[in-house]
Amino acid sequence: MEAAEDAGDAGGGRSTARKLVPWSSWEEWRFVRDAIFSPYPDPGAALRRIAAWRSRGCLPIPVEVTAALFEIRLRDPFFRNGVPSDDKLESDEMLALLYSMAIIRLVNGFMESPHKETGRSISDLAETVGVPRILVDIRHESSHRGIPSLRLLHLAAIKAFDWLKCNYWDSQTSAIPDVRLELSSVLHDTAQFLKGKDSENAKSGSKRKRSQKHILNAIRYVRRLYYTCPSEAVSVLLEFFQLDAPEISENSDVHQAGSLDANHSSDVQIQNQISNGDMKTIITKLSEKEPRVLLGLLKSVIEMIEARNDLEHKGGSYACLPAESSTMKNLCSLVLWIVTSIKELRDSGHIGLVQEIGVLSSDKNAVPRFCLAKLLQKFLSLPVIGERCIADAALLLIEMAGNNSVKEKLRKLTLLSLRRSPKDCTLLESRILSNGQESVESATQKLEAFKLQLRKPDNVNLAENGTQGTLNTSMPEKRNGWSIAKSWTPCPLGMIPCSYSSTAVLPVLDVIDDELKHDTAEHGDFEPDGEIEIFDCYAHPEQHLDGEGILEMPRSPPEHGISDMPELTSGLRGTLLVGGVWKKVTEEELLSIKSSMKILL
Amino acid sequence: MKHRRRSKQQKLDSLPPPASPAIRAACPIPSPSASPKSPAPATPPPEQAPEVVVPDDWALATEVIASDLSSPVVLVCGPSNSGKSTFTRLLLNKLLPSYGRIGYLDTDVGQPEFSPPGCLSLHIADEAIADMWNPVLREAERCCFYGDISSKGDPESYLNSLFLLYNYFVEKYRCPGSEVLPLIVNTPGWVKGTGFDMLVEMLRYICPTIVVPIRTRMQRKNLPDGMFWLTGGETEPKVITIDAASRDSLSKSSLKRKDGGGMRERRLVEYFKQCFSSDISLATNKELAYALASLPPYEVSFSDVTVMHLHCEVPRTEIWHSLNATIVGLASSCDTPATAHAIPWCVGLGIVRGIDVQRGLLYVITPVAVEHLQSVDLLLQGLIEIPRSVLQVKGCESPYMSTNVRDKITGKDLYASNLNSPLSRQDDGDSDSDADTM
Repeated sequence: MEAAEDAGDAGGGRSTARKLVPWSSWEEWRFVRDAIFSPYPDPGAALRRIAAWRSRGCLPIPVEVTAALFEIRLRDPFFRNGVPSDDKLESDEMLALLYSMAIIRLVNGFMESPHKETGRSISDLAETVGVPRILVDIRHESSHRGIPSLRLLHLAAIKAFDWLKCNYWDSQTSAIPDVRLELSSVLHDTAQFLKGKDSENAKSGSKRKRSQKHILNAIRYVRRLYYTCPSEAVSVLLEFFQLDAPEISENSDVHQAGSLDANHSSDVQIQNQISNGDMKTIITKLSEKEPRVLLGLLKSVIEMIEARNDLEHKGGSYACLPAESSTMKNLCSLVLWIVTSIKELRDSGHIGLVQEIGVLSSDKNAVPRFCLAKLLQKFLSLPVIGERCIADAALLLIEMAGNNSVKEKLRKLTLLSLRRSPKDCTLLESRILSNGQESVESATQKLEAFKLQLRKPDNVNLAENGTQGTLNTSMPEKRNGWSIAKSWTPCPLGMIPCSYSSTAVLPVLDVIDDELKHDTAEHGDFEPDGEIEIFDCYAHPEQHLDGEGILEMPRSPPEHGISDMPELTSGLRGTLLVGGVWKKVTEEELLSIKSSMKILL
Repeated sequence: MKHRRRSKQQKLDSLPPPASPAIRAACPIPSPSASPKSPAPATPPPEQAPEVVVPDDWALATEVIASDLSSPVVLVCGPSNSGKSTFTRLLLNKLLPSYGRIGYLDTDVGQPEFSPPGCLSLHIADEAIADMWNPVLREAERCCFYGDISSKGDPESYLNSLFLLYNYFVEKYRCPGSEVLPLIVNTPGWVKGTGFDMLVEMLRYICPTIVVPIRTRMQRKNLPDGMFWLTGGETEPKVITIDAASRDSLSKSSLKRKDGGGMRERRLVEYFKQCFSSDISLATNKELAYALASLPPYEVSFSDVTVMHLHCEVPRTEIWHSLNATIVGLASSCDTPATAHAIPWCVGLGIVRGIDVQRGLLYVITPVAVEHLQSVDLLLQGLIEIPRSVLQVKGCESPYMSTNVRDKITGKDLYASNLNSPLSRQDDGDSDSDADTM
């Protein structure tokens, strides 16, 4: 536990007090920070986003003043190396007024409330907290006397900007809790103990007890981190799986030393590796307290499978490399393991299946039935449905969802599996197969939906509509103004439920431009940040196909241990695979690629 | 205890009355506790519903107004926390038996009587007010969403909305020949500077038949004596000056300043509680927050609504960043009155609880009935802050509630850890505190 607490301190200390902020994540905040302070600033993007923040009504003073100074500087020839700005030239007087006002806002914004509370003078306070004296003087001069000279104001503006950078942007940067770091350290710590425990199984009871307690504490700590930032925590957990290892045994509840030597990914992580078995143990323990963590994991894994699949299909006509396919196999087996765990939790009563979550249901571990239907649907739509593990996982889901009509569905699924059994053929072939299979799948689903309908007239509306909702999103037929959202699962205000896993996701909020829409439907978001729900290719099959063009460009065999790349779990949006490495690309770059693609074609 | 302190104009010129003990005792404060520390009417003690003691001059004023049988238009004005709302409640109850229905024009966007904050509204009341202490939500006859808690941001839109509502009332309820209803106008407590100018404009436009200025003992906070809004030549209304119910205005006002934000938050919470059927008990904010997170929201396609930002310019590319998890006014562009300065009627408020850009869907929580929603095609975004209490419940915290925010000078910065200054507090409820006092 000491280690865990140390980690907490290392992360800048975790405060539980929350404050309303206009940004939806620290990534968004960092995006604005970098658009202002990086060597290649993007003034337009920064100011636009700050305008959006302002409209939310809780813009912090330092952000407001930074934006003001930043914008004025853009108009000032002095800061443009003498180049006049494109739009109207500002007169010196106008610039002086703008600077003075920004500086008044800065000093007053920071000093007003300390001044009121303590009664100390503004200049006294400024000295204490290190606000440059020149700013205080300018505030006084321009409020009570005359507007200071532009020369002085230039100097002051530079000081003010630096002061803000140092005292707000940098200091806030270091105060942002680093969940990744904390969680990693806790996990390593726990893994250490798990290893120790394993080799010391024969040791005395008291020691064992102590390590038990230690693990419990660690799990509690992980749980707390998961509470604070569920999606981040999940992605870190997933990073610890060695997904590119040649083989993960499917029933590895005991950890295997064998997987240690498997890390040909040769990373800095070598000495830090936690075996998959250990990870599973940790997650199992965690999920007993927080069953929903499994759904979050499942969602991320499915996203990885989809992304992976895209890559493999882009790889050209030749069959995928063995490393890749083992990663895919590992992912698939992870899906099965997660579903198995969900089922176990269901059987042990940790997860309750309910028809519908009532608004007052305090049971956060209840999962509505329609979620299973959605998940199943997602599974069936996965291109790797032929994979034994996924089929098995789907079977498990069916087992959980309905009892009566299991047999019928079982038969259909075995049929599916059989059809997919020559999996070892080339990708091209499997592609065709998977295409041809879609009709079978949808038929299966429809049948299933009907069955459900017959069985429970009440509940079906939900299940069925949920199904339809995902199936038909690209069709405009059900748009008639306001209607109550179907198959809703509880999620915090500002987030939306994932379309299949019922976990809350932070939506991507960038406007999709009409012209760009076609090309960018999948990777169209140029914002290089944010937890992002990877595009649901099932909901928009045609856009999915269109979107392929973008990833097709860099045709390098992606064998660089994709699973180690954080991008995969935090979303591929705004990135492009160039030379085997994910790189952030701007809208302009993409557009130019797009135009050159046209020429190629 | 009967005192004829003030009536009509003859008392107009007198200064605030001497602090007579009789007046003190007669203040509408909870009768058991007549101590100077007793809370203002706006913030009653939460536990027991205190008995209302009506000061004599208030009772007299309502008598006089009730005796005017020609359906008066009564405008109540005065500094903040002087008891305007309470007086209008009394008056409404007094007039109701004789008229059956009474118009109530609520112009205090910071603390509306029957509406959630940010709204100007016209109500036709046909039911007496039971709770003298707290404002109660009632459905408005017509409502305009102004979108801020003070009129200072956009006086023009504010006045236009107000005039629009007044015209609507006059056209519908004061036509000669049909039933003529009396009207009570409650005004904001901002009576200095621009607030005063706006009050004057309001008075000139509405031309009330009776004006009730409420005076506090802080002379410099009061409105000028006399008919300050008249330029001469107009028919003079009846003016009935009364005294503020609370004596200790200094401490009261500071008490209220702190609480303004809290009151608004409670009102919004109360408003959104209406999303749930009354048999669901939502005693705590935590329960409500979780219920709101669980409630299946309405979904509406981007193509079916237009987003309007009332007080800010927002770049087109940023609208969803701006809108997510904020409060909006739900309005309809088609039934916008032709005479208006393009101010649409508002049917209620909603929380944009999530946005799915890829599917082009907005998810909105609102207590407005679905049949009324069908005509809603405008989302008006103002600066009404979403109550923090509905954003955080353990395990379901909104991403907009962040930890580790460092954007203030803290006590630590000032004293290098020698004392725990209140400056380091994490929440700041002072963003709107000067709404009434500016």
